[in-house]
Amino acid sequence: MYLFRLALASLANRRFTALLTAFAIALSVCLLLAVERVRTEARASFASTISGTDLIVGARSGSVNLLLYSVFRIGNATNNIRWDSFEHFANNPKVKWAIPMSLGDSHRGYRVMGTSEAYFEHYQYGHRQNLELATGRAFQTDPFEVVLGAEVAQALHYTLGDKLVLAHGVAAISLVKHDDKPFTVVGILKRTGTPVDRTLHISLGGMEAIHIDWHNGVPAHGAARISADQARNMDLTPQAITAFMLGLNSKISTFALQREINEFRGEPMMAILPGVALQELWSLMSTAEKALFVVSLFVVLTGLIGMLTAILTSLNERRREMAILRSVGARPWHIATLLVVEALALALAGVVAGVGLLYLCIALAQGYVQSNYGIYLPLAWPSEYEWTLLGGILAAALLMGCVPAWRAYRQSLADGLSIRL
Amino acid sequence: MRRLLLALPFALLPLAMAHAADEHDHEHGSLGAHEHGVGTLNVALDGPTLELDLDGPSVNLVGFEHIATTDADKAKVASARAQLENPLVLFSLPKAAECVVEAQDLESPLFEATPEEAAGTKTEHHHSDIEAHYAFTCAKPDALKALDLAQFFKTFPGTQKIKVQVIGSSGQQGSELTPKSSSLKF
Repeated sequence: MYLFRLALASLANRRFTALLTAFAIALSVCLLLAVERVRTEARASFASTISGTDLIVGARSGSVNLLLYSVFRIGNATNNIRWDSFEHFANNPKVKWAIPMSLGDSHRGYRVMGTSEAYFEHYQYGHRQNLELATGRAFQTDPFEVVLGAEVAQALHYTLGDKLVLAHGVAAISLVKHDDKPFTVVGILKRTGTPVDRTLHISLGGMEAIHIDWHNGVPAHGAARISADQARNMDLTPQAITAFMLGLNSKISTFALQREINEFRGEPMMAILPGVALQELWSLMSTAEKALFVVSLFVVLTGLIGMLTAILTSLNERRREMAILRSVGARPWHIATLLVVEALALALAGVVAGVGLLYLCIALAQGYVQSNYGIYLPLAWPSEYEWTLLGGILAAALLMGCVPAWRAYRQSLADGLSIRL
Repeated sequence: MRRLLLALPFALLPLAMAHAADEHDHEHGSLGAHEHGVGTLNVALDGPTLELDLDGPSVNLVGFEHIATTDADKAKVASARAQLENPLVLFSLPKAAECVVEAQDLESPLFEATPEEAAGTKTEHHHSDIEAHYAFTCAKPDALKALDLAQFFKTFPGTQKIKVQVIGSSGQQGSELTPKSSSLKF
């Protein structure tokens, strides 16, 4: 115990260098933990985006691509699928519910999704939680009604009854707007922490209506234009949708239906199991994750080597200190232990400060990260794995402390009290 | 008039489609993947029901893809078939789960009775697949903790990789199993 006190007192004597060393370690620990936490939370938030959906069906492309555009609103579909194909499978006896999705328009950078009432009834996220409305209601028969995700409403300050205009395409700045057919906000969803928060939901009829007078990708002019009121009275059954989700009566039939859809003669379609596609996505991302992890490990190593250098260079200056300790009865192994304890104390201070710094960063950046990247970073206690990492850092520091300890041990044997200046 | 003419193909489209659906379906239908050494296995577990679907190129299981004509080839096909007909051992299902085979179905041009008969069905293909479907009822499905394909890889060394899709009580999983890492937790 007295060795520990002695080590601390010695460190206190050189507090500026000691603080800098601890700070370097703290920064590296903070980086390592932050990488680890963002990685696990990104996975968790991705995995909790969809739940209870047995199959996602879209035009034949790649399973990851289909998952990304249908669930995460990242990227675009290669092709649309016919409405008849959707109806064909929605009426399949194995299917319990079907949610059609039509993507491609946006509003001030947020994606617009055309869907049906089934979406609010059956779409589940997290641990089988249904979507809930914070205020208002789901869209009904009128095609020009929109239900906002929580973040859209918050960021753009929309409330019930507001009118908004959708833009054609998904670019943040769009030159072509559907300004002849404004939508009315009828509902705002509760926050889910998923891409649903960043989506505007309209009915398929609404999606059809805003494009009804379009030809070859451009809006009609003059007399050919169809007003919102005229559109209301027209048949707004869509010709095509982007993708659809299926819930089945029995999980056992998933593979049979998947095969049936993949071999469907009507048009080339692909059915994916969202859970399997997610894992495929992980295996793609794991290389990048590993690279990040290795980089942050090296940063920790740099911090520890900085500490080693600081202690080693101080050894020469502290010959007198060692000699005095020896003269009052300290044995060489006392000196050695003193240096190991010093290294450990520096690393411990660094780790504690690093964890503190991490929590400070999380507390400050939480809101920003959630609203911009959809990743919720909780202020949770370190996980088991994180404790192991921290323990590993301390162990590495202990090991490194042995180097100056060994030198001091040898020197204190040889030097004795004679100081050669 | 020109517009009408342009519309003509569309007017005929339903006819064309009906025609296609009638006869040409398997010729115009897309072909499934066929990658030697790689098979797929679908596993679905719901309550006591367990279903396994195995699909892969014949070469993985018997070492060739033509119809067996020589005695040696016939013996290989028969032996592979015998292994496939014993799924409880092949897929190392734990005894504790008390699984009973309810139904099993093996499909492959190689299993057709005679070369002539097989030739009548699918000889234009140079590749052939073997498909196996099994349905089990397990009295204690909780004992099914993991899927272990070590025995499968030992029995059929021609298989290098199996893409596994699993639907279990904890949701969907996907993985690629190889002889080196041959097990997947449910």
